[in-house]
Amino acid sequence: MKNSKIGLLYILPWIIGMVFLTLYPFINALFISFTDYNLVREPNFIGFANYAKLFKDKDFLGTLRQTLKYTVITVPLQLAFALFIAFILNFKLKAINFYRTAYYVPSLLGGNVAVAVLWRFLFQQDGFINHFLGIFGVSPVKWLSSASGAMAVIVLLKVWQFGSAMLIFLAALKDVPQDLYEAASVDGATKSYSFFKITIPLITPTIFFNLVMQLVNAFQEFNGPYLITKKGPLNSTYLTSMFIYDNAFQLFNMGYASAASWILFLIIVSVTVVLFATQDRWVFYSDKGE
Amino acid sequence: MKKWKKSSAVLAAVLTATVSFTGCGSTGGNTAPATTAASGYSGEAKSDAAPAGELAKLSFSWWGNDDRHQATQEAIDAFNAAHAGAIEVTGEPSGFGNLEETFATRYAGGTEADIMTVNYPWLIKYSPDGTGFYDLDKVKDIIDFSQYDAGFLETGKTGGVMQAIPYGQNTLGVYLNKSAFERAGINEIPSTFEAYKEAAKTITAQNPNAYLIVSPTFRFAAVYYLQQKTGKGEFDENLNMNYTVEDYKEAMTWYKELADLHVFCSRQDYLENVGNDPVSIAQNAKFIDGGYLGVLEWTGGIASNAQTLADKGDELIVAPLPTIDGAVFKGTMAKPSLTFAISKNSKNPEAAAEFLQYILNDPEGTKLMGSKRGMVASKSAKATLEADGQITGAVKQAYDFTDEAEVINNSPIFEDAVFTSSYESNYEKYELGASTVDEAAQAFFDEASAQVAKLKAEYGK
Repeated sequence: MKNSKIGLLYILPWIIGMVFLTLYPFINALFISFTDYNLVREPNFIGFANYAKLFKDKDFLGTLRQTLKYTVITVPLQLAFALFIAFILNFKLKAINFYRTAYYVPSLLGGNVAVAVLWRFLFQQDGFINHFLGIFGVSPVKWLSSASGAMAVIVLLKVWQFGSAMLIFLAALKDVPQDLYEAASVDGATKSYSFFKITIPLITPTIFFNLVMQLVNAFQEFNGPYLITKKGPLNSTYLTSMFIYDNAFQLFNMGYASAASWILFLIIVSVTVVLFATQDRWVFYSDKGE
Repeated sequence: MKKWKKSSAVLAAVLTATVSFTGCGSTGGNTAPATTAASGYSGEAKSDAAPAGELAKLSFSWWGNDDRHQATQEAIDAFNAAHAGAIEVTGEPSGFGNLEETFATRYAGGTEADIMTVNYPWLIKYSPDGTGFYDLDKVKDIIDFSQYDAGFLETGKTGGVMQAIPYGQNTLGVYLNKSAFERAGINEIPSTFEAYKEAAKTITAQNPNAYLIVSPTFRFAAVYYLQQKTGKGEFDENLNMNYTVEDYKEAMTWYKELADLHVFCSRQDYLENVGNDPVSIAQNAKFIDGGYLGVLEWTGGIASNAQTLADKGDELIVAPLPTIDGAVFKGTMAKPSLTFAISKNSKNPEAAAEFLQYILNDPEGTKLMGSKRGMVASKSAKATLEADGQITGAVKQAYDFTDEAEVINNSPIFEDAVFTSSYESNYEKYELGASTVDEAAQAFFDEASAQVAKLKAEYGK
């Protein structure tokens, strides 16, 4: 009993934060989404008007399309890259701890202002990237002033932040029993055959976990496009989280922004539920059948 | 069972992650509850002024760069020293970012400073009926309003109540990097759009990526054109739109033709070199490097812009206003620059008025404040700055330009973010080939009309 009280005391800061800084705003946002609250005047209850308007709002629907596109491109690329690097870092190499740290650094830096400024310089018309590509005879790419170029820049920034997923993959790879590889090797299996028939199946729970977490993150992406491309040419990098921010803090349509937040939340939950529903088909848990 | 536990853990993590974002993004919980917000809007002063002999503590909020912070703090220190034991002002400086987010959140929560810097469009937004800020007519014995043009002071009124004092007039003008023109062999500064076209040919022959005029807000050039064409501002005093779809179509076509000739900066080039958002010209690398040779901008920023060029040995000048073919109005647009208001929740509005009088009209205070907020409207402040030698070079030219230019004063809703964003977005679609000019003009007109209707309803017009 005493231990449980001490335990509760330890997690009390988290509980307080969760209740007051997350749950309360979350529920409050639901109430606000049914009002025309604009921060200055008293809110009026307007029922589902904000939701109805959102489904006719070309900007909002456009941001949903761009967010979906961003997610579909980013998540597989990031997972594949994270798994690839984790696979390499699982070998017994010299200075392996240094490499592991080095590859995790981009995740710590994330999409902060300094990184964003650096990326803008790198991808400008006469920036380093175009100069580098020029060495191989590639014509300058309009990274920041074309719709596809701007999307590519924010996708690359996200993929570059693969460190967290990589660490989780690395832990999973270390858990794969070595005797399975040895047995496969005795039977004449090649490295690639072992990878696809032993490694991948055994780490599917981790792939599933990373997939869900990266999907949730990608749907909520804000920092990268906000700091580097903003809406981008022809709104090509205008993601739903930025639409929410603009409506809340630029236009002060708090009710409208809250409704958009809730729609985004419901989309994320729906996608997650669908993923959970499919896991029986491709995720292999070691205790299956118990 | 283990699988269920793993699934539950993953689901819990997902919910936590999504809840975290949605809660923050929605802003609902990060802002004051409705009742608090309302109190910020309609609340009464917390109490009467500090009794005689008690120290009246005041806060003063403003935004700006380091130069402005330093000058303002020096003025505050001098004022505090002169009023030791009676009034003590504490400065609350901030940068240029997220101005309205900060202001709105504090205002809604009733935690605004006693003396506030208020953007002109915010007056009607936060005080449509003249009850959002302290009524400055109550302290007219302390603040010397006679130093201001009576008509100009009207811009500080809403609902017929004096809500704020406009600091100065901002006039839209063309400012050129004279040194860059001279380096290109052009010694006569253009004064007509035809001359700009000729100059663009010469300059692009030497630097194909150069543009003569850039503006941080693309809509400025369109409204500049339409004002000259129609002789009217974009909105009338009842907030009705003065321009038609055809007008906007003509303005977009005109701008694009000039952008194709490198007179105005193209949207494509702006996206490539500056980005999506308006960026202060003083921080625009291509302008500093001479890739943009001029700017269509408010006079308010001219001191910083001129200094930026002076730092690298170039000279900024105020150019003659070019006029369009068939102009019925040969001027430009103007608006009050930032304004100062007293919180209606202030415990010491008279002391706050004394401070405002000091920084706006008092010789010592105005000298310390300098020209860091652009051009002053107070006659006594201008006289002080002139006598102190603070009005010289490009700043002097800007004062002369302001005195001489024919202007149409902007409606307070002119700078509403929806208009600016919608115009840029639709012009961008037109220039980048994603829509025709008819579609772009119609889309902007429709979006602007919807926003006008919304604002008129909110402001009781």
